[in-house]
Amino acid sequence: MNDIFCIAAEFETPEALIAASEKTRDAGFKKFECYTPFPVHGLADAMGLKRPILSWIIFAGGLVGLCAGFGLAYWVSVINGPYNIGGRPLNSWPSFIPVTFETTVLVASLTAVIGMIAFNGLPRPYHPVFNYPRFNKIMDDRFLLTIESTDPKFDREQTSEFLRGLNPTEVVEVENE
Amino acid sequence: MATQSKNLHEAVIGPNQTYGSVTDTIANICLGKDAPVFWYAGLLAGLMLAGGLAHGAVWLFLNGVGIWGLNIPVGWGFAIINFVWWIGIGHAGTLISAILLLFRQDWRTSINRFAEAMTLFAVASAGLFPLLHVGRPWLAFWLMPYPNTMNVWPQFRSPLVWDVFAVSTYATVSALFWYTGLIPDLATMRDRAQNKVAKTLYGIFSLGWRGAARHWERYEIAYLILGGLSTPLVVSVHTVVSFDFAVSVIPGWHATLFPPYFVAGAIYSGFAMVLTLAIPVRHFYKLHDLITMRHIEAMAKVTLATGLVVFYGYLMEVFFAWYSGNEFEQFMMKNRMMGPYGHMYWMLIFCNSLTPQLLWFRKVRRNIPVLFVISLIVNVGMWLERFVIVVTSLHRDFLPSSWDMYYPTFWDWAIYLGSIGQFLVLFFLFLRFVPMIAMFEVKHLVPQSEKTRA
Amino acid sequence: MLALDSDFLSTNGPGSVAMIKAFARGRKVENGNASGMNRLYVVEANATATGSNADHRLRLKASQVAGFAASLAAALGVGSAADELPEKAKAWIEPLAADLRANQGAAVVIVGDQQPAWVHAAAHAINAQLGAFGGPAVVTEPVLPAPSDQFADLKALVAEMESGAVETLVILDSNPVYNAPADVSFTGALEKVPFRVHLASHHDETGELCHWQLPLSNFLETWGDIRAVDGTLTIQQPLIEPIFQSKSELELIGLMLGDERSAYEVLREAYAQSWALSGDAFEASWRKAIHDGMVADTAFAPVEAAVVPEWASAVERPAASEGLELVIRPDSSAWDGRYNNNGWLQELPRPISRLTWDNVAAFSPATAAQMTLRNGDIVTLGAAGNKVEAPVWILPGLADEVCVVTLGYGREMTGRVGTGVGFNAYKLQSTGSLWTVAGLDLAKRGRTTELACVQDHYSMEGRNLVRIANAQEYSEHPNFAQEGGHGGGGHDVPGQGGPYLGKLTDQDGRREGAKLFEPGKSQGLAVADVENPLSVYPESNYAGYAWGMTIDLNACVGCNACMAACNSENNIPVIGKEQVAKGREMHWIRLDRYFEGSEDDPAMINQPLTCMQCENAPCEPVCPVGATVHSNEGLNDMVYNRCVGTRYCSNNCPYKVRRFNFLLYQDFTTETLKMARNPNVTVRSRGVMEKCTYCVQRINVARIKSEREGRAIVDGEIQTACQQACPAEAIVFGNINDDNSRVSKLKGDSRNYALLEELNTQPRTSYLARVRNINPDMPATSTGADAHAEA
Repeated sequence: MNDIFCIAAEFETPEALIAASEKTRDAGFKKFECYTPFPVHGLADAMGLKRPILSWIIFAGGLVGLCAGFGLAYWVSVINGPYNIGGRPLNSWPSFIPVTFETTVLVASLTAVIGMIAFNGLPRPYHPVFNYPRFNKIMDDRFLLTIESTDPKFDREQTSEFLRGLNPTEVVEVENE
Repeated sequence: MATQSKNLHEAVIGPNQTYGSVTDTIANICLGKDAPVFWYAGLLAGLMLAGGLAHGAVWLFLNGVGIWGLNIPVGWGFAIINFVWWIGIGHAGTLISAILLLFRQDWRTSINRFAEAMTLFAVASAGLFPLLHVGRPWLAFWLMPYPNTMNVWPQFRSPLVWDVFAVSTYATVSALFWYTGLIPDLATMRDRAQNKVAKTLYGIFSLGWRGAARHWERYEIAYLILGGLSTPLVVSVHTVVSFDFAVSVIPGWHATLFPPYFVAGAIYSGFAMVLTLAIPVRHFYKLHDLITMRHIEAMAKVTLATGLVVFYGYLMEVFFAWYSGNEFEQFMMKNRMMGPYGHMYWMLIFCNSLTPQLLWFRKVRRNIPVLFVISLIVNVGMWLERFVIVVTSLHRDFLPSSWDMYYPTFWDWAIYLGSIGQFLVLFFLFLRFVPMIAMFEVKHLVPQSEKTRA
Repeated sequence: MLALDSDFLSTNGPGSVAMIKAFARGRKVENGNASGMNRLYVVEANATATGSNADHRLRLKASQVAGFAASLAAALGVGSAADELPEKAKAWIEPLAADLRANQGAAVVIVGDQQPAWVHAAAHAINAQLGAFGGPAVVTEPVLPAPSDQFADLKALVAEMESGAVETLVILDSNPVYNAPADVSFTGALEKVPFRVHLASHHDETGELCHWQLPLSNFLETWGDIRAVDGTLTIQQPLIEPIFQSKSELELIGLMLGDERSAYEVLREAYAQSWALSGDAFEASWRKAIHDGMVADTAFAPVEAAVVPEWASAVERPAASEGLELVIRPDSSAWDGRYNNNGWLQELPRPISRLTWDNVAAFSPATAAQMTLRNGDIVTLGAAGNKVEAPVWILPGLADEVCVVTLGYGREMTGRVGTGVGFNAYKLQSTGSLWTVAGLDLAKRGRTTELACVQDHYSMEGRNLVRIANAQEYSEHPNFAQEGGHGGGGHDVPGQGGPYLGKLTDQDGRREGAKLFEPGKSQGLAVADVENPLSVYPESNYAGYAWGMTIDLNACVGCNACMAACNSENNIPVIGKEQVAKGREMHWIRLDRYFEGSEDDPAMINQPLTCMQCENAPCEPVCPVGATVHSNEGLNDMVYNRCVGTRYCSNNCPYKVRRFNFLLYQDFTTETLKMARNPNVTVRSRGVMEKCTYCVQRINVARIKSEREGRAIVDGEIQTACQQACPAEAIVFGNINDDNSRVSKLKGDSRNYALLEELNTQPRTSYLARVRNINPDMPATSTGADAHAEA
């Protein structure tokens, strides 16, 4: 194992980062990552990322909410407590729609946020990339491209060289500890 | 398209802003050692009013809702008026965050955080009232479905149960939306904070966000879908609130017009409130480069548009009453206009229907002091609207023998003003400790990033 | 019937229950047949429940009634007419006399207790002329064994007290310090008596000035006997042992005579002697008398009596007064002051005025306008050498130039309920002018006070709430109630509940209220239309019992007994003046009163209103916790324990019959109140909605009993509290699934209609429309005669 986590290259503009990502991708690196202060459109394509499955999970969450909402209203009103309420039928389904709708949205939204956080492996208080000396500028106005040491093609010297070829402002080795 | 978008940019952010200057401007408000006098004054005013709420709530719990001016037939008074008013105000935040997100209205980015916070605090103030207004507040949790030894459940045909679901869903989703939007900015704060306590707290709440591209990818999907979910949600919430009235048999309540009319009214009052808050904040924090005239004017236009929908609603109420041929409906309308609360109705028409007509004029839309006054008038007008709907419909319904008057008491006012105090306290704390403008989103608009914008 | 200033259809005074019952039976017409219906003419100064039942009503000052009686008597051929009668009264004489004469032997004139002796004499003369004696009027021996002029006796006693001749004065259950007329200086004389003893249930003004205050047993705690108005003897049987160590009057007098026996022993011995029975024979008769509630065959036999020819000159005919006249009447709640400390009665709205917790100086709208008085103004009333401050109340239906006040208030020493409530009208009374004081001195004080009225709005706004037709319309259109009747007119009580709604009149100045019955034109919706039902939902099925109720508006006299009974049966709290003024009264059944026609001379309409037990109850679907649900017998049940108090049900109730405990209204700590409560009815606490349940506790008792006996509940087995107390038998309750039940038959009557039926609430309580027996020859009044003329 290497004693460094990755080699990082810092850029000043998102355009430079995208161009660098494309080259990194084309160079066959797999375990590389970009860090940006805001979502940069086109970066995912430039990195060759697959579309996440999160959307489908949120859809499933919505379906669960829908069934739970209507099911609860139905079960309570028809099966568990079949009371005559103002002469309405037990299954007053039009009256159950608002609740059904709300639970659908609620479960889908919770799924979206919790799913996003979980798939992102958060919360994670410590990450080796934080060892990048100027990481506090990343969420401000700098753009970082890192190639991790676990990448099969990773070589401390060659990778540094490769990154320097991408016209970054700086290339730094980031410690693992 | 390209030129248009370029024009938009110039208007939505000052020309000299860079990524770094955006971060500095916004983050320094939170990280600065001291707050401006304006902030202390606002917080103090909020605390004083909120003291009235605390006092009123204790007195209410000790004695019962009889300390208010309620009676039979007017079983709902200030509490429900305030509830609907606050919920309505909340709507603008979600609308700005969600609907404008879906429509890709760039100008939303500098006001959405702020508007979402307003939504949350408005919903918090709104949420107080259903709790306070029930006769036995310690049993209010019976409106929630939960398994219990008595094996009794809420009654799902009641609009109040729909309310519980709608408002709690709305509060939860708004909070999620707001918090999700905050995570990257909290990471920025974490990275900038010098103070150890601040750094730790921002660190905890930012969940270790590091701006990785893979994270941003999922983040954007989740955020967009949240926006997509919030859009029908925000429409449903005020629709459900309007069902509290529309589902009843009471003349003046029983109207199919209510859902769209309530939603428009909600957005109307919400935008007025955003203006009421944004104008002084912009002034005192000198955010003219981030909240530009274009924002202000766009909000004024939305206010005008929704105000016209609301005005249409008022006209249709009159028309329906006449067209129904129903003597109770017709009487309700006459009583609204010429009965003992007639002055409230005409004040409402002045505030909500006539005043916003000034917004047709570009000069008015760009005149900050006038706009501020208009926004206050609309806020008052929307409160009056709820008063007119709740009280004048109830106080004279079917049987003249049961007619009576509703007069608010000291405690009605104390709790109402107290809810404004609570809102202000939360809002000022937000201004001080949370980045009030979404930094990472505004950075999209910075001229530097033009080429990468979608 | 002609009632001359007589409020015989109220629950005051002796014999009123029997009279209401008899009167109401003469009003219960069926299916278009109004031929047997009685007709009531009322001439009065006050606006009374009796006046609200009149077919023709004439407002006259109390002092003008004598002149009216004289003119009527003259028209019928006895005595000489008065000349100073107002025009509108003169117009009455001829057609009224003709109608009375045409009903020879069946017509009767009734005179109020407060009218002077001359009017009573004139009425006797008229009744004799009409052949009423032996028919509707009966003369018996006096119920009092030795009638005397009680004021003369009192004055004699005071004189003796003044002179020091009285050494010991024992006052039995009486409060002369409070209620002696102003010209009898009882209080001063009392202090000259060396030893004063007072036997009373409460420590009152008289007890305060006595040396000994002795506790009096309640009538429900002691044995005794009573004579009814017809002379029938009743043995008074206690329900409980005395709660406190008290004595009855009988026992105290016994003790003073050295007889230490209990009232029970005294009573038994007296009856044994009276019946001349002993042993088992006496025991059998005694038990029978107690069981039956009366001693059989003790009513006085009618006696032959003739009117003396010189009746008209035996006492002087009192002259009509000039200017403002003070009319003093007993109060329907406080009576002479003895019930002043009763919270139920204080909070029971007074008939017609619907006021609670006060007595007032009441004026007609015209008189009030003339003197620029407004509701709640404080005025000083000066009479009998005293001045009293009183609040003003404007009451349509009163005679003009009259100020009506009631007795029984302004108590200085009574319990925590009555002390300080109202003003003491006894100070305005003198033995010479007890009930009518000419030339009232009135001054405005420039202050106002709040009065607690339970009904702010007195117009029906032209809505089909109480459906009324006159007898002729009814005969021609028996189904008028289903086709739509006519509602009332009028407007807000000025100064109460906001501005005058008088603007809401149409172009020709006719009030919207004056919507008339139009034959053949349907104004209501036909709910029973099977082919076009109003609801998309299927009708609910009620197998087994299906409880329902009818309220006959033609029988209801507006006496309030239903409200009082409901209070007692259902543990309804007393909430006090301030809460009533806020509109939070708790009565489960209320008696709505509307004025119809002109404000100056309105007809008065009563409508008892309670939970309608709607089959499609609007209150139920809106309750978020299911605290109000439908039973399988069609009751709209309240689950008090489950109620969280959102008040949504009340908002959505079109009848506004739900009541809410806005504060902690029940007194859970006072020991004696605990005993007063009905153990079968939940005592509701703060924050809970409540309402009429059709006395579900009584239904359940009957159900348990019938199930144990293996039979069905029979018709009439269950009586709701209001029904039981209704002297007019206007309320009928029963199983509407049983075609033979009384309630089913009444619901089949042509007068049956549902209130607000167009909302499709399907109420289980329905009304039987009111029919007025108008004499077409009478001058127009607002009781419907003019409406008939227009139609």
